[in-house]
Amino acid sequence: MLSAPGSATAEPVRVCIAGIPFSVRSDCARHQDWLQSAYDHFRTRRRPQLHLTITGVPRKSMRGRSPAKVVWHGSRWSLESSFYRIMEIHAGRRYHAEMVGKSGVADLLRAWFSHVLLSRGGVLLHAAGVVRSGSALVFSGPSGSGKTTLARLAGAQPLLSDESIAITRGRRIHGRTVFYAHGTPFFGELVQGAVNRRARICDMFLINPGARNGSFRLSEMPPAKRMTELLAQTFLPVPTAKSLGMVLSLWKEFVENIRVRGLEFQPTRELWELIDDRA
Amino acid sequence: MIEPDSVFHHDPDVAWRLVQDEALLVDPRGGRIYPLNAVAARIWSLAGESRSLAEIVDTLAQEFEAPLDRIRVDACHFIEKLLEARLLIPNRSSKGIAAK
Repeated sequence: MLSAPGSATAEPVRVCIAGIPFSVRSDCARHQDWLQSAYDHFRTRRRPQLHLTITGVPRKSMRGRSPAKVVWHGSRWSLESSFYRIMEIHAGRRYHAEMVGKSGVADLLRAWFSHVLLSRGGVLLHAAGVVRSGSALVFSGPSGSGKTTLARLAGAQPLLSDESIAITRGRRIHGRTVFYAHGTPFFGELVQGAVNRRARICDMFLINPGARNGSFRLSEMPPAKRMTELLAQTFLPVPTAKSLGMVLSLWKEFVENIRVRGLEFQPTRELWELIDDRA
Repeated sequence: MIEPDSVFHHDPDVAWRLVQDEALLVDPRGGRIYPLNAVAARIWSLAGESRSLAEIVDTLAQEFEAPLDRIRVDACHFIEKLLEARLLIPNRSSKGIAAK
């Protein structure tokens, strides 16, 4: 039986990410201060749909749960790693997390949110996103592939994130499924400049980090290759058959409805002119 | 060598989707991703329908232009790979892989 936490006295911080309003409260003053600061652009007055409380626990209580895993307690899940345990108290509504130490709350929140987002049909993607003329251009790639560089060179255009983009499905318009990119506060060097908004995705680019010897190049890819690259950059702390099935369904529909191309580039001033010309 | 009457099923832990005529398999146990081209995707689909190896080979021969012997060898080789990777599991009633 999953038990509810003891009461925390701090006022919960209300946040809205990817259209999901939630409250988060920690019994650690340092965490509370960090939440209010780091998530400042994502604060909201909207009524929370979800509630997360965080409690500090001694290290010995984690008993070395590594690697991280999902544990089912009847119909409710808990996500357990070596330094945190996130439990679903009331399915789809209330969650409680226990964590060791003072640092790592950012990782915990990203892990929790990625599961919540997936349960609502979305995913967190390692990607930079920039809004151009009201639509989102999303650039996905591993660390060091140039996402932040691309974002820095975008100039004054709204930046959704240079590290983590939430991808959600919209409705079908003119026979094609619409997908949205949402800004998130999850990490990134330029996170303070990120905007809390969504934009319809018009193009997805998969950065080829190994090709820096040439100039700008866009390439087509077979659909399975596109899905492979997107899956590799999807944030999923503990993949299970069920969660992978959901992710695969989303990416399958994505590559069937949104143009996805490989991108090689040099970080020059003309880069965004080339992107605008070819996008 | 796989017996012609061997029947298989997909490992239930493996997540997969067909996309156009290709497929993507993901094994959460090792975190490996397996993109399959059109022929491999077709073999994977047929193997999950409880068809025997012989039936799979016959179906491929009707759908793809290649000599029957070549199809049989390639299909066998690929299914062996799937079995080794534990993406595919032989049904209990079939003989599975015979001793080499």
